[in-house]
Amino acid sequence: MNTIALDDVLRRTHNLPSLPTVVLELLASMDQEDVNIDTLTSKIGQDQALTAKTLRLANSSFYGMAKQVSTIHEAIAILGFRTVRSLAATAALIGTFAGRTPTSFNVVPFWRHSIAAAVCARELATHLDLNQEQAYIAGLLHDIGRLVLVTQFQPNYEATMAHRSQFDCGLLDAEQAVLGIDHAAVGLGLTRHWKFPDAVTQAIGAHHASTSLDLQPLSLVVMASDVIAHALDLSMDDDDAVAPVPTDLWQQLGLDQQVLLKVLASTEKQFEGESP
Amino acid sequence: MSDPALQLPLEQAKEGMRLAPDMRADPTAQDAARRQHHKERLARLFRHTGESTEGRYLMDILTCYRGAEPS
Repeated sequence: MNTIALDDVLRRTHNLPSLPTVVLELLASMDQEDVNIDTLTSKIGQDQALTAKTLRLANSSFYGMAKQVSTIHEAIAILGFRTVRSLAATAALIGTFAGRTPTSFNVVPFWRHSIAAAVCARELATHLDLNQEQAYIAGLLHDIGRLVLVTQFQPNYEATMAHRSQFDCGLLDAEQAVLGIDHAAVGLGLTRHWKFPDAVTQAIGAHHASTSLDLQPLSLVVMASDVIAHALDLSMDDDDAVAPVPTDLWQQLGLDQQVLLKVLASTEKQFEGESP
Repeated sequence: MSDPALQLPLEQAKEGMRLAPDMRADPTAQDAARRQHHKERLARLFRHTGESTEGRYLMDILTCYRGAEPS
């Protein structure tokens, strides 16, 4: 029997890597106006690994630096605090789960897809006048429930992947058939447990909803970003597939074809700069 | 050549298209092979979206974006 109850998942949250305090503070500060930049900057600076990863991303080709950025202060001066905050959160979240996934789970396509969705969500948020950083983080974490299932319920998840492979069905269908729960519900439970902003937890929980009606704007953005990131084929996974798209999603987002073409081009270009 | 592990799918697609020797110098044949590759890849990526209008709409945009149909 491979089914898992949400209570089982939440009971095992103590086995999950706890997010470093600095990450929680970065995430919590994203919807605050009165952020003490110096305090957060010095906290990022105290974590050498996080500083190094953030600077590596800041120095990636996308940002086209004329000279190497070597400190968090320099990065903020050139890229802006909001961008550096997103970069630091990305670096920290990837680092938190590094080395914890079983070898049978290919983590590279997972993070490539997550970053593509994050970049796309930020781009969509720009066109819809939403909080870009919050969209980026929600996009980055939309599949975090998969990491929980993979790390905490490995045999069950392997059975899920075998089912998916056997029937060539969508991941969500396979999870529901084998586990009786899916990664969106797990992600919702986990990010609630981590006390993420409500709009972010809602977006993570709803990214595979069967309808786009009554969803908050951020949830629509993450739902669309997931679909677009799969369609752009950026994960490097031969078995990648676009999930069924809910009726009226594009209409509700109110983006015409020309804007969507711009979003595709911009997502691909920015992804090249931010992918690990 | 760059590390294949770091390449984007599009770059892999460009390198992965196998052309017969007499097609390599023929831009029309190259273009047709590239379009065919994108068409097949998009069909595979969209295999779970069924006949839904929303899925079809996105696939059409991607087809245009990838230049998978002759202009």
